Amino acid sequence: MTRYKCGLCKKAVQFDVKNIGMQCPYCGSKVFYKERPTIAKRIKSL
Amino acid sequence: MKVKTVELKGNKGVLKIEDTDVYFVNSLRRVMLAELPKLAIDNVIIYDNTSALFDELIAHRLGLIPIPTDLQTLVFRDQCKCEGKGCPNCTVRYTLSKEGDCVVYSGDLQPEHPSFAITENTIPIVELMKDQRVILEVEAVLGRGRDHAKWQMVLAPRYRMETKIQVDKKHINEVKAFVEELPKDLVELKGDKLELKDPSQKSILESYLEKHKADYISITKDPSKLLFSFETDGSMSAKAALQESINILAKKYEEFRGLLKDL
Repeated sequence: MTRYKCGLCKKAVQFDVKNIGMQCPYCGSKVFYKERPTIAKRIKSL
Repeated sequence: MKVKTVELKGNKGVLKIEDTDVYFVNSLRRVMLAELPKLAIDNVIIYDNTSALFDELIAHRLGLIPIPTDLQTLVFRDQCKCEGKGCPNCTVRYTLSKEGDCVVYSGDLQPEHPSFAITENTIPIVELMKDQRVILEVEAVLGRGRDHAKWQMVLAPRYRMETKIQVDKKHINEVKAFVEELPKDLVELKGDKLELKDPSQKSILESYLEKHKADYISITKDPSKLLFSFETDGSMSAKAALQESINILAKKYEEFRGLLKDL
């Protein structure tokens, strides 16, 4: 299960990545943002 | 060799070098471009970034910020006693924490030590909208321009040969008529000598000569008299950058001499 944020109502929702046709259970929106993991990300400045 | 300082203030340097060869001044130019060490942000640790720009783009923009460099106190990370782990002798750390709506500038990077505070503090990094935020930590290390352009301290080092304008004395009346047709501040006719008021305007004079087919005036370049000019990005003064470049060049010549002795 992966965590997403609804693009319309901003509520956190969880979906299986294999799921086709995702829809927000609260507002019905189909636009989602993938939430950033809480770990620090180390990258090179190139 | 004669060296006359025309300008050596702040970030800009202009030198008049006489009785020299082009290859020598060119080697100094190339040392300035590729060999001069400079601090630049290399590693970025991002804790949170909800801005419109993705992490790699922010890291790239951070890398190009000029950071005040003190070569007396810092060493290269690969030559440091810490063996590349990162310690205060080889690494300068900054932190940044900002929440929108605002623009994140280079001056928002907070250094570990006040002596490394960013001097060019109005370089925009990212614009944050309401509720967007950026929290990160960066590590700046010494590097050279040959490895990445972010470690290139000197911008556009260049040299120009001094121009000599020769006038055919037999056609002095035609020369006078030609000079009258030129813009007022371009040249000056002193007796039978024609001089450019500003050496950088040479190409304008050349275009007039071509247009008027004035073959009684010829322009030649003197490769032994050069005007060398350069600018730094602000991480070091022009004077310090020049001195350090000369030291590096002298070391290279010494090394080469040592290698020749062993042959």
